[in-house]
Amino acid sequence: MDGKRTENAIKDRGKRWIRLALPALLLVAGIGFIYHVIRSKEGHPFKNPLIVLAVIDIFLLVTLFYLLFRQLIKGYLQWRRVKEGARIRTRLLTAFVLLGLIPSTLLLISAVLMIESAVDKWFTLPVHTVNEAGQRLVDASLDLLRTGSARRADSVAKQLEAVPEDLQPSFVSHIVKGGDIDAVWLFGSDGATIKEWPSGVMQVDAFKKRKCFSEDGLRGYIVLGDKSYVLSGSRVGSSRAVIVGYLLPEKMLTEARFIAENQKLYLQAKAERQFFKISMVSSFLALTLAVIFAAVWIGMKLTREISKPLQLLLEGTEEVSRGNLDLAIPYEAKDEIGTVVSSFNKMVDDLKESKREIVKSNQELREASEAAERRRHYIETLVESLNVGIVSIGRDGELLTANNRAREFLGLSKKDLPAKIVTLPVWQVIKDSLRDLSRHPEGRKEVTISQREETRVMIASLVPISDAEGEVSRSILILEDVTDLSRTQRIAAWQEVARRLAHEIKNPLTPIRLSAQRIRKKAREGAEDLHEAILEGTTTIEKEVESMMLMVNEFSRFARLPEVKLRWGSLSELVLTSAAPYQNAYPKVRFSFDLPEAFPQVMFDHEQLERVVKNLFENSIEAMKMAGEIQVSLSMTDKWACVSIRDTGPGIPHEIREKMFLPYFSTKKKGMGLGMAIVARILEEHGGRIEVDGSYAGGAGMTIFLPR
Amino acid sequence: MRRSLAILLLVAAFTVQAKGPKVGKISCGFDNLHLFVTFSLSDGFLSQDVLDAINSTKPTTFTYEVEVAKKRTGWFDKTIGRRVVEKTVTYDNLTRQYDLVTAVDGEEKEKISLISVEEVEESLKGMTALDMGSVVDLSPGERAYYIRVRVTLLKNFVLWIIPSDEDTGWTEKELKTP
Repeated sequence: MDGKRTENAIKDRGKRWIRLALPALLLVAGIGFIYHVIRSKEGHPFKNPLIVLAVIDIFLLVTLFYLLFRQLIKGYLQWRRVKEGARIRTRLLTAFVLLGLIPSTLLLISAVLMIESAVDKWFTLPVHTVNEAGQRLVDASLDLLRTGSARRADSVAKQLEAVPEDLQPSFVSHIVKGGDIDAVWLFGSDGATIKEWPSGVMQVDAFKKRKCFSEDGLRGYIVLGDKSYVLSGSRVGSSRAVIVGYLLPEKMLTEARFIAENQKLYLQAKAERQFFKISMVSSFLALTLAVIFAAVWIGMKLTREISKPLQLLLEGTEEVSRGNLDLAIPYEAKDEIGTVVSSFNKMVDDLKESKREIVKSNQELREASEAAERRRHYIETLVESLNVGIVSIGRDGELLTANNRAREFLGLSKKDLPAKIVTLPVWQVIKDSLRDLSRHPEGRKEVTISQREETRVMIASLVPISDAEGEVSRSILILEDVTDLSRTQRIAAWQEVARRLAHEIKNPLTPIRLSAQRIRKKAREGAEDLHEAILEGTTTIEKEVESMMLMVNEFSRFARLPEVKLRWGSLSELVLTSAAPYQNAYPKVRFSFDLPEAFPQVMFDHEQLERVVKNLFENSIEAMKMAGEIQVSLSMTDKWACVSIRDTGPGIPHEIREKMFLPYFSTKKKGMGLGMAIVARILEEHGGRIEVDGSYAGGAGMTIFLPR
Repeated sequence: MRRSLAILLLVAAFTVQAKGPKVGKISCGFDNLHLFVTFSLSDGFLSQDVLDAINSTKPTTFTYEVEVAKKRTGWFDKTIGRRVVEKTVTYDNLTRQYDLVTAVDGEEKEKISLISVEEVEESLKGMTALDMGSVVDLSPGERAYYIRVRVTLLKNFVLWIIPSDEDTGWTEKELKTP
């Protein structure tokens, strides 16, 4: 930026020199030309003040015209190009020029008119008439002398013609001595003086002598000197001529000279009137031009000073609007404009700082965005490659996205999303499942989907996603294909059931077979104790069959758990209702309840949950050997309603805590080990769970979790 | 603007010259390897303006410029010889005579008194056998030489400030060298 500015400054300086040098050259050439012309005509160019004035006028005029013309063209071009600051500069300059031009021009016109009028008044008719009259008086007086001298010259010439040439010189002396003539010159046709009387009066030049030989002769020439004469001459014969001179009366000559001198001054002044006017006009014109020139010059300077910072400001604003913030207006002043420029520079600095911060933030944002994009891509790839189906579900239950596995499960392609899903029959199945799942924030449900004659078993999990306001805006449905696992588990379960059944059936079958073999043996032997044997045997068989019946019933109950029917209800009531029979039946068992009055209602299946609670009570009573204390309390978390049941029995060993909810696991001598498995399954059907209370060390503690 | 001013000056100068006197016949002769030039002004050269100037009693100078020049192609002509004769007439309103002083190349040669305007006109009308000097430097038979004469009668101004003398302009005549 600085380099560019320096380069521009050098260019501007070069242009300025050219702008100054060109007119200066023209001016020097013009002055040289004028000098040459004047010198050729006048000899010395500055001898005549009028010429000096004319040169000054021309110089000022040309300079002024050049300045104005240049500014006019420049202003016009800048106006057309809509250059910054051109309009205000042109306006200011025009105002300054007019301010100098109008009054100066008016003054000049007034001065010219006044000069014209004043000078003309000096030469009015009365003055002219008086002067002319005086001159005529002098002329008339001298004319008398001229005429007299001419007549006398003619008469002398005639007298001399009558005298022989050799006597003419003495005759001349005689005439002077005896007459009114003051001087006489007799000379030949070659100009040589023959007789001069009195001698040494004055030298008569050859022109006057030649004149005497002309037809008119010499008539009344006045020669002024210490002694002034009127000379007249005539030819004497063919080869001689005579000039007679009369002394001019001194007094008359003095007066005549005075009048003539005044007349001369008048005539000269009159002749120089025009030159006087010209010199005055030239002087005023030079003065006016100097004033206008000064006004224009000052105007230009002021205009430049005023408009330059404005122009810089406009250019700066333009640069800033183009986004260039690496600039500072190089203008320093203590006036208001300087303050504006300073504020502008500060504003640009602030903008630059803000821009830098924005760029930095933008960069960080972009990097974060790229990282997020990379993460998103990674997650997307990960999600796409997962072996579980992941489906994004909108607020209104519409399917938004689905990964590769999910599309495979649902029989969809990418282009089918998101609109087509609602028309798919499978969607209704998922939707129904979702309705149940939505009641359980972390619910999982096994869903069977039939698609293209293929049935898949899936574990559907629904994870709600909340927005910034905490509202659930969408949910993620996770579909885990457990078809193979389910089949395997089912086979394993059947194997286990078969094994258990075989085992459980095998146990009573042995005493039954042994009883039957004993009865047959006794009967074959005809033993006396046959009757007793029959009684004992049948009793054993009956007992074992009853045991088998009990076992069958247990299996049947486990297998035929009814579907949960959820409805709002009070857990406190449920607890109290469930505990009531045991409080009466076992007097050594003390029940204590911590049941908050304002405990909110929860959705559950009353019958099945009562079975769960009773099962837990029975286990505690049995573990405490019918004596002890059972504490029941209700509590609430943000998701769960909790029922805690603690007893004062021996507690649950750590090693069996993990296994106690599995079917057929039991520490009792009697029972199929299905009780806690049924409890766990019922709570699972509710979307809840049961956990061993590890924090309680006074006995066994179990906590039931139900969704709120 | 400057162009307009220049045109105005040219037109003014042309008008002044067109209306003013002209140099009439120019004749030249050689005597003893000296060139002598004779020329006269056209009638009426003593206009009322000139007479008024003379009768104002201020010295009025008539300048006669006579040059021998050689034409050059594509360049200004070369001035070989030049004579400037100044005849200054001063009217004495006391004696009603005209003093005429003649100077050649600044050197006063003659001073006479004339009693009438006719005599003044006759004296100013032209020059007779003005000695232009030796012609030894001129190439014999060369046709590029010429004589040019200009007479300046009055000093004047155009538009108050522009000097514009009243003169005849240059009149040329071919010089045939012997």
